[in-house]
Formats: sequence, C-alpha cells, structure tokens
Amino acid sequence: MSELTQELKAKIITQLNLEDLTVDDLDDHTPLFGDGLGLDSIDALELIVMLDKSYGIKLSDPKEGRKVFETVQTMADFIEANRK
Amino acid sequence: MIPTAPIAITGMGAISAIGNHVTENFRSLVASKHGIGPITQLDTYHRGRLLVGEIPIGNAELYDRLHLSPEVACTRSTLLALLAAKEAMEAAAFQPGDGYRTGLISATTVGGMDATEQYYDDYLISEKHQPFIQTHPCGYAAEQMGRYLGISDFVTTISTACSSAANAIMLGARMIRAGLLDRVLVGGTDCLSRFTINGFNSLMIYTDSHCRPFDENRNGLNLGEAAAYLVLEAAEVAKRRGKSPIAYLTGYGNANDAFHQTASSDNGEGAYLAMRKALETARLNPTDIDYVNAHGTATPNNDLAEGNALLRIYGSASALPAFSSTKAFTGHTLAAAGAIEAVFSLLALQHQVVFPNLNFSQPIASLGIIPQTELREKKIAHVLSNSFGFGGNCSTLLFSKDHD
Amino acid sequence: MDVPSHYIQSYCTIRDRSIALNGTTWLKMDSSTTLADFLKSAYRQLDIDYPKFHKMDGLCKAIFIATELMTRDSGPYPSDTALIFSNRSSSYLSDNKHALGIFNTENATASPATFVYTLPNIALGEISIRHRLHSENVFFIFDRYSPEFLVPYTQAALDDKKLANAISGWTEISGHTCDLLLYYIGKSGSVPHTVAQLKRIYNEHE
Repeated sequence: MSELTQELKAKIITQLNLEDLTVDDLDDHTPLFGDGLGLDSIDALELIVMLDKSYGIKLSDPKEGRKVFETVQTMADFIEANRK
Repeated sequence: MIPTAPIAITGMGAISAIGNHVTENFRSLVASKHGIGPITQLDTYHRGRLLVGEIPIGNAELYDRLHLSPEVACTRSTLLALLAAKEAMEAAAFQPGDGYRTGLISATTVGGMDATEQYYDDYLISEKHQPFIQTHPCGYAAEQMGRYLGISDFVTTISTACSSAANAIMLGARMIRAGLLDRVLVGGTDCLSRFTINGFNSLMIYTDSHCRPFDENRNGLNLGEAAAYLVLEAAEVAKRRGKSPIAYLTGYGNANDAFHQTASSDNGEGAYLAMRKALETARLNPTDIDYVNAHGTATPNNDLAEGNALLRIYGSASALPAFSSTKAFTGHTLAAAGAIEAVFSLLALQHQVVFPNLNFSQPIASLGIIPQTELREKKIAHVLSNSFGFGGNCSTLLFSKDHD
Repeated sequence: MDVPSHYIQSYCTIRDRSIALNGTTWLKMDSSTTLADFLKSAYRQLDIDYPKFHKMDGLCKAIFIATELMTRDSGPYPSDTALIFSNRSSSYLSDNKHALGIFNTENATASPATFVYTLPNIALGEISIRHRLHSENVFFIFDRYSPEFLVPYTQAALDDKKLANAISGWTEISGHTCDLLLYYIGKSGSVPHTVAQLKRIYNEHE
C-alpha cells in the first residue's frame, strides 16, 4: 500500500507541475484540494486522465473525483479497490 | 473626449448548422429547428459518440460556391468566413474602394487547424497540400479574406477565446468612434476540429447528448461551426450613401473575471461587469433591455455564473427580461459565437421576436430563473448579447433599434 | 504640438535569454539555456511564492515575469488597467503540445492542463488573477510588432472608457525565440506614449 502512495505522490508532483514540492513534503492525509495543496478543477481533470492512463480506471463524472482525490490515501484506496 | 457617434449596422451575413445564410438561420430559429447531430465530416475518434452543430456542406462545394480555384489553399474556417462576409457586404451594398476607409476585424481560435490536422502527415511526403502550411496561423485567414474581398485599409485578427467575435465587433465600433475607420466588416469564424473537440472533451464539459442551457440537469456543451459578419459604419456615412441601417450598436463592454484560467467565478463578476459597462456606454438602464441573448453554453459552470450575474443586474428572477441561449440550435461555435449571436440579436430586433431556449425543462435550483422556451412576439427596442471566454474574457454587446 | 495625455511609466523587454526592465538588464543567461530553465530562473530571481507559475505555459510565464517586474517599478496596477496585447504565433507552444498529444498514434491523450493554455488570452486571465484586474482585455494577432496600430488603438480604448492605465505590447514566444516588449501606460512620466518612442524602446534591447 505505501508503495502505491509513494508512487502516487511522485506522479502527482510531475503530472501537476508542483515544482516546489518533493515526495517527502506530501503527507498521505493532506487534503489535495482547498486549503491543503490548493489544487484546482483542472488538476482534478489531470488526475482523472492519470487514473485512466496509469491504472485503467475511468471516471465519467468529474464530481466523482472530489471524493476520490481528497487525499493521497483516498486515491490509493480507490485504486486498490478498482484497478484491473 | 470622443463624442459617442452612433454606430450603424448596415449588413449581416451568417452560416451555421441551422442555415447557409441569414434568412435560413431565421427560418430555423422561428421553427425551433436545431442543427445538432452526429459528426459526419470530421475524421475523429469521437465520430459516432459526440453530437455537434455541423454545417452539412463539404469543402469542395464551398469552393464552388465561392468560385475559388482549387489551386488556392483555403481552410474550412476561411471558406465559411468568406460566404458570410460576402453576404454581409452584399446586404450593406458597398464596394471597397468607394472612398471610405474600410477595415476587416476577424476573430478565430482554431485558425487553419483543420487543414493541419488533415494534411500534416502529407506535408513531408508530397507537395500536393503544402500550400496549406502557410494557412495554419490564426492571422492568415483575415489577410486572405481581405485580399479576396478587396478590403485593405486595415485588417487584423482577434483571438480571445469564445468572446473573440464580440470583441471584434466592439473594437470595430471603437475604431469608427475614434475616427480611425469609416466602415468595418467585423465578425468571426471557427470550423469544427479534432483540436477543439478533444480539448473540450478532456475538460469534461462536452455533453453526451443535446445541450440544455440553463437547465438544472445540464451537463455540458455541443461544439458547432459557424461564421458570421456584420458591416458597421459611422451612422453619418450610412446616411450619406442613403443606406438605412438594420439597427445600431449602442453599447459594448469587456471585463476580466480574474478568477480561473477556464472556469467562471460563481457570482459571475466578469459577466456582471461586462453587462454593466455595455449599459453605461449606451446610457441605458437594465429595465430598458427587452431581450438578452445569453452566452448559455450549458456547462454547469457558465450557466450558473451567467445566471448569477443576471440576477445581480436585475435584483430578482421575476425582474429579468426575456432571455434565451441559442446554443442548442447551433452548438457552441467558439470564436464565431459572438457574431452569430449578434446576427440573432439583430434578427430579434428586426422581426420583434424572442427565440426559444431549446431543451429546457427544470430551472437551476439555486437561481430559479426561467428562459424563454417558446417563440414569443414582443416589442423589442434593445437587445443584450453576452459572450464569455476562457481566460476570464467577458464581453457584452448592446443592439438598439434606434439611437438617440 | 499637443501635450500627450498618456506616458510610458515602465517597460520590460525579453529577448532570447535576457530580460531588461526600463532598458537595464535584469537577467541574462547563456543562449543555450532552454526556455523552460530560463523562465524558471527568472521566477526564482523574483523571489516570490506563486506555485501556479509552474503550471503556466511559456507565453504566460514570460508575460507573468514582465508584468511582475513592471509593477515593482511603478507600483500596483489599478483594477481597471486595460490589457492590450499582440503577437504573431498566438499560443503556439501549447497548441503544439496539445496537438502532439491528441495526434499521437501510439497513445493519444488530451491533457486538460495543456488544452486550457491553447489560447493566447489565457495569459491575460493569469495576470488579471495575479494583480486583481477586472479590466478590458484584448489579444491581437499581427504579422509583426505594430506600434503604428497599438498606439492609436490603445489611446482610443483609454479615451473611450476614460481610463488612466493600460499594459500593452508584443509577446511573441516560440520554442527558441523570445521577443517580448510590454509597457505600462499611465498619466504621468517622462516617456510619451507615441509610436516613435515605442519604436525606440523596442529596438534598444540588443
């Protein structure tokens, strides 16, 4: 599990151009949106693309993303439960 | 200070999914006949999946209609633009070179993208389509149009996303007011392209069905293709050559929402400011407006922001004038939207009718505003037309039957 | 001769790998530096905390840096500062990236974060967000830097809406070349807002 969260952190940082962050700066439970990391709706869409490309999981409604992308941990749980 | 010289509109031309010229567009609007359907021309993965507002005429036939030699490299956006521009110039009944300084301000966002998509792989292996390489940049089409139409005093291109054509119209008016031009052909054109269909689809704001502007359950837009142009003239010039105007452009405003690259702020700050500025330029009150042709793309975000901005202007849902989005007829035609909807606004003034907002059934719960859903005859003296674009670029035009 | 109503209060040029503010070099790097590295170095030298910068495309980044430098020199921009920009290649850098993504025959992907930058006026939105501007914006596509148009048009826009300030200029950024001149116009200053002055300023950066 922690391997997946580490992998996700690295992917999030590169995919979303979070230049000033390293994997160690990201906590499994930091909120990704809102006051946490301050990601926005476009970042959420990029994460949807990433879920599809890297894990074969398709989200068809951007609203679903809100729960899934709450934290690195919620993302990892979702991937574990849905990956093919 | 520059006196606010009235800007006369003496000609218009339009081609869209609901008609090849202005009259055909009008007939479709009053018959509630929309132009949204499956993709039949563009070669894309999304064929059979997404619905678009396509103009059912192939490029070869467009060449024929324009009497263009097949040797000339002309992209689809430019072909559509030339048809609409010619119609507008014929309606305005002027010849370039008649002594009046005449300009062309054209809007586009895709430019020659369709040709690049089609021929890119060919360019390296055959010379056949290489003349199209130069047509790629957004600025090329307007230059080519100027040559074809004989307009050379001033030619430029505007690219500010989906408010591009509204801005072209506004800038044309301003150049006349500033005494830089006597007359100007203004408008916009965008054809369908893989570039935009894939892009909007990736933003997850492309509906899987027909768009439903201002409906609680709206889930995105349909893209469309169109071109539309107006001839603006200093009212004095129109008068001198005995041309009676269709209507007047009395107000315009542009403001930035300053919120997000693509999303609008929930309270519609930019939209609100643009409408306010247009009313101020025209020295009119919100209650003077008889019809609002809304931007109404049917994305959850736009319609909420625009609805909130309208509520801020009018105070309450019951105080709103008749309003509708015509995007369910044509699809969202991007850089052409401001111009095609300017033509629709002028048709509303000319024929004293409000066009219906199709596919609406349930008002947005948090707003409670209800668009006009049936064709309605009413006295119309002033029409507001909204066009909002990515980058927070919000524009409003105000058309009036008369000027004071 | 008429007294000019508006003046150039500050200006910034970016040519290839050097940046100058009011004619004085602020950053110069080797011409072999990539555009991305060059713009990132400029951001670091600004010493600000604005993580959104890293998400922008090259056009936005260059415009962001120039407007940041000018405001340091002339103070905050009033919220009704008009933005009147122009270039030749529109949003070429992002257009190209988006096209390479969707036309990739192996693994076609449309990246939303790339697509949102495929319009030149997104940069105007970015600086409006940064400097809280709710003003009029326009982006023209010209063949070349055209002060002959920009000056009278900007003046007409300022007069029409009775505005005191505008940021105007030319922002041509492609993969290898940077050719940017932005200038901040206000009611006071020593450089009049004229075509001749703008030609001079444009040509002074070697």
